[in-house]
Amino acid sequence: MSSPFELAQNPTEPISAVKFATSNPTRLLVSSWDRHVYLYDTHAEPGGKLLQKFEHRAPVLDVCFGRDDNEAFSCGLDFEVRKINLETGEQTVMSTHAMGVRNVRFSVEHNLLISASWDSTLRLHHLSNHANFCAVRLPSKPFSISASPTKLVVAMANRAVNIYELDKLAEVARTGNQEVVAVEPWQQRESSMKYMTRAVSCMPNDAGYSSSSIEGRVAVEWFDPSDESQSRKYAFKCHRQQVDGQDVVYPVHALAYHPVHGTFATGGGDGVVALWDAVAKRRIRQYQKFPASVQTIDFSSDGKYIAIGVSPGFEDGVDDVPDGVTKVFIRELGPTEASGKKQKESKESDRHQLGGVKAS
Amino acid sequence: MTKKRKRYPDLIQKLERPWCYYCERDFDDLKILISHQKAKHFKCDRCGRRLNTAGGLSVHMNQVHKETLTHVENANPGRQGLELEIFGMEGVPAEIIDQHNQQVTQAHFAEEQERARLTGNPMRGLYGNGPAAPNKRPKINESLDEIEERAGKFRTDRKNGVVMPPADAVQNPTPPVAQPPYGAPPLGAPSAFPPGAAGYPPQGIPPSLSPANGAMPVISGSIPGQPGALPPRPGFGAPPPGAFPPGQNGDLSNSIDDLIGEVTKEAAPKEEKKSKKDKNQRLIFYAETTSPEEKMALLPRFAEFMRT
Repeated sequence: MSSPFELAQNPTEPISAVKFATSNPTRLLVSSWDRHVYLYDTHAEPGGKLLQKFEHRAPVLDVCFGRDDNEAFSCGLDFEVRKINLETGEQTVMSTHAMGVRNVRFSVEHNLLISASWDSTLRLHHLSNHANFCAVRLPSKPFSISASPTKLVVAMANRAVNIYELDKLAEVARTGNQEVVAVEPWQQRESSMKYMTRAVSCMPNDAGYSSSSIEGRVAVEWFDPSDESQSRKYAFKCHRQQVDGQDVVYPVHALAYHPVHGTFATGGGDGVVALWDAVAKRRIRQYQKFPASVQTIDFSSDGKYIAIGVSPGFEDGVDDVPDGVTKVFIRELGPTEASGKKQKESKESDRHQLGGVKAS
Repeated sequence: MTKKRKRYPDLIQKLERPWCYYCERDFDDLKILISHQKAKHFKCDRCGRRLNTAGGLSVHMNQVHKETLTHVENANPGRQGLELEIFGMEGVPAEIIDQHNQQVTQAHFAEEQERARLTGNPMRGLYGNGPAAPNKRPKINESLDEIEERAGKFRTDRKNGVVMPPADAVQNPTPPVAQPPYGAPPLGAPSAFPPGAAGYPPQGIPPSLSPANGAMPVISGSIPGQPGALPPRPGFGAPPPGAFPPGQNGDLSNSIDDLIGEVTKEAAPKEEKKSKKDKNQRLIFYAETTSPEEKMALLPRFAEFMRT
């Protein structure tokens, strides 16, 4: 209803990631193919305030916050994983992969930095173990990784999915000395979708994860290997459009779980963002089309804001990019906007309780 | 007791249903439509208040929440504008109503046709008081001898292991309307129609309802919008009427081998075609193992920064 606002100073090339800080809900990092990482305060002034820009040698493919709101990690086509001090702008190279580095994640609980590269390895940096790291070989190229409180899900080429236990990874990383270590995945799965996996995102309650494919589809599955839990998994079609009787199918680029309500958002090549209730299997809402493809989504830690990175020309590697379509949108969510259906029941019970108090 | 016949709404009933301008959904009555609009399209996402119109919601958002409403929520593309003041069915532009009515009409006839095809019953209003429906079984006048001869032939055939074609294909050439899986043959194959049914007589449709736009062709053969969705299958089980006139089973055993041959020939490509039909879709991005980012990285403007 109320339209989201866009950040005033946007990157000039496609946006690869948007990430909110772990404690401050208006602090936002944006990484871009224009070789910069941007730090914004989204609500310091209308349109947000660009606090700082951090230049890199090559396009940046991912960014995440570190131990606090003043530390960040980035990775990209310079094959490097960097630590950025957001106050001083100082950058430290943590490790150098053999190919482009697609994702970085930091697990605060495990003090563990994980990077995933197209050289088909993960690198694990335990931050107590200074400059050292260890590498884990993957069966295929990783395309997306996501961490729940205890698990790391790695979605790879050839529809492979590995699930690791973060405890185990942190353990080997603590003593890592730049060597390749063999870590058995906790579970190895095959994607339940037929096409290439595009994104993966873990449920904040540690119960399972969603993954999306390039063929307008999202699958929801549970970690618990019991037959009962596995039979709950399902997949559904989305981000499609009927044009002249033909089904035009867009890739689902972005997936993000709401930290409070446990619902999730998908963003697709059609420029649409939709909110879903994974348990009730319902779409909660769908927002008006954005001017270009939605590449990345993140919720703030308090679940009050959603950041949406919109950039054109991403899916087919087309070289002409119209100006002024690469934008970050911030939307303030209403109190019940992202919550599932059960909200009503709890309201009802609140009212009953209140009534009871009055009567006594 | 006979089974109660299911009543399908006729076109007039369908056209009378109120429907929502924003999402094209239709409702049993106006009250439900209005409460739908208040809940789905005119509800404030900040406080949950349900307003009566988009304009009302806009004013509410402005005054109460100091926000501007840019579009109507949950609306179809192109219907999200705030300019129109819509309440129930009021305020919907005449051309949009026409467009909707045309769609309903088209859908109605397509549905009737499909049902006629599946059930084998004549379409509503056809053959009501005129000639008999052409898909009635033709009367066969056989003498006792002829019947005995046929039975004898059946026994020897069975002994020799000759596969009998489906009974109805032998006994009476069923007109295409009664062959569910094979679909109405396209107009290009008029010989498949029994002589009486070559194009359904148009007098069956009340002239007052026949829209002048293009809904009419629905009745005369294939379903528009999916031309040739189900290509005709010559051969299998559905010989063109006339090929095996009733009572002339003599030629049958000769042609059965041909039939079987045709079926097996037909079956293989058919499978493929069907899977292709199901995939009437276009993937915006497709690759086996190269992610969009890897493709992007190869563009000259990014590749120059790539580490080597």
